[in-house]
Amino acid sequence: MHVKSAINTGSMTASRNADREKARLVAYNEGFKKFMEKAMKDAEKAKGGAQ
Amino acid sequence: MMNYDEFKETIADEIKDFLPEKFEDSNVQINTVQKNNEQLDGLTITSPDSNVSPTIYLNSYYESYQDGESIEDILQNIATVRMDHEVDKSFDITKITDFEQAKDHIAPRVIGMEDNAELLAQRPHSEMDDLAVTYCVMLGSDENGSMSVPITNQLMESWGVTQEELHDIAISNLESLSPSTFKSMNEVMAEMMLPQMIEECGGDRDMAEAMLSAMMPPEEKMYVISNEEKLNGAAALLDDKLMDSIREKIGDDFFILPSSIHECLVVPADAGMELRDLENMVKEVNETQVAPQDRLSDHVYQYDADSHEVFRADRADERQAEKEAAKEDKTPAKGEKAVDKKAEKEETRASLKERLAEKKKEIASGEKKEPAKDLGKKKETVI
Repeated sequence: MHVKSAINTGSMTASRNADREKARLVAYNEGFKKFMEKAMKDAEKAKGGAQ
Repeated sequence: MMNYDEFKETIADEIKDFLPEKFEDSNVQINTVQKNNEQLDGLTITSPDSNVSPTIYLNSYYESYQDGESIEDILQNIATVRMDHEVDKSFDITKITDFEQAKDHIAPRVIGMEDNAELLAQRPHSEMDDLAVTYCVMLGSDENGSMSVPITNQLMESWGVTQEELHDIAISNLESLSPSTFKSMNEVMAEMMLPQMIEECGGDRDMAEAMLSAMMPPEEKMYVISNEEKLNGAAALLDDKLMDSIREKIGDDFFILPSSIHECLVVPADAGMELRDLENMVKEVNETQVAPQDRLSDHVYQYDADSHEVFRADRADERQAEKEAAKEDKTPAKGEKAVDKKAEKEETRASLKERLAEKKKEIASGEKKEPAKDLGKKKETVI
């Protein structure tokens, strides 16, 4: 939005973009899940090796 | 095929032919608009009876043109967007220009410094490691979104306030203007995805919940901080109360992942992920999933509870060494009280209140002092 005045404020209207929000949060969630699952498997392997 | 400059010129020259007669005397302009991490070309068509007009960004229209859309169709689409966003009544500009009216609506924004040098040269800001805090005047929300005006050096100077004053006002307005939120990733994912999943499962909620649960990590170790609108929610990092409550909930040590300017993620340091893993994750998601205008930073951060500051995690050792060196330099003499940061902050707030009261008096009496000469980070102004 542009407001005509002595000061050009360059005001703006922003709206939440749910698709973009979903894309990045799902990516983080997946990355974290993969990491945690791998860490759990490694821990189990280490446990098995120790036994 | 027209190049981009020819395309912009054609749009500016021809657009009135696609608009109703009442736009005949309107003023057509194309301005460069600095957005987060990018520069866009905004078209404005301002009719003589209104002082407000939407800005229509031409960059994506040129991409459509390159993909084969005809210039006539593009002009028609732009005209439709312009008419759909027509504001009949004139906007009351004093909501922005009158500091007394604007001050209760000043809110902070957090953006990355790296790709925003030009934008930051035009706006008062404070630095938080490689993040910058900028300020805006919130003008309200409607079905199109939340309307705000970024505070430029010029606007700040016209108010006669300093960047430090703006900062304190913005922080004190944070709770009332955009209350912060702290939720587990599971909760956020459920809010975002469960309704659609229930629909896809033919209304079977249990099945949808089972599907969602399969998507989640085995342990709940990731949290999301933002605000209720989920817009520019990275500013929640400035909410000391929120940050302290996170420490109470998950412990002193946690990493902050700058997922976007709209929200950040919190991972406890004992979640088992190394800093390097987290940094790689942030870089990868930024590259593949985050739109440039939403991007905040490629680094991972931590929170210093004593100074209420967010800092880059890869600089933690450097920062600690600096702090220790500073401590040695400033060791209080026997009997001298050590400086309490909180008390110092309270003092600043109190003096700000006094200065604001003074300013109110000044305005009421019709006298206006010259703005302070040293306005912090002012570099240039754009009218």
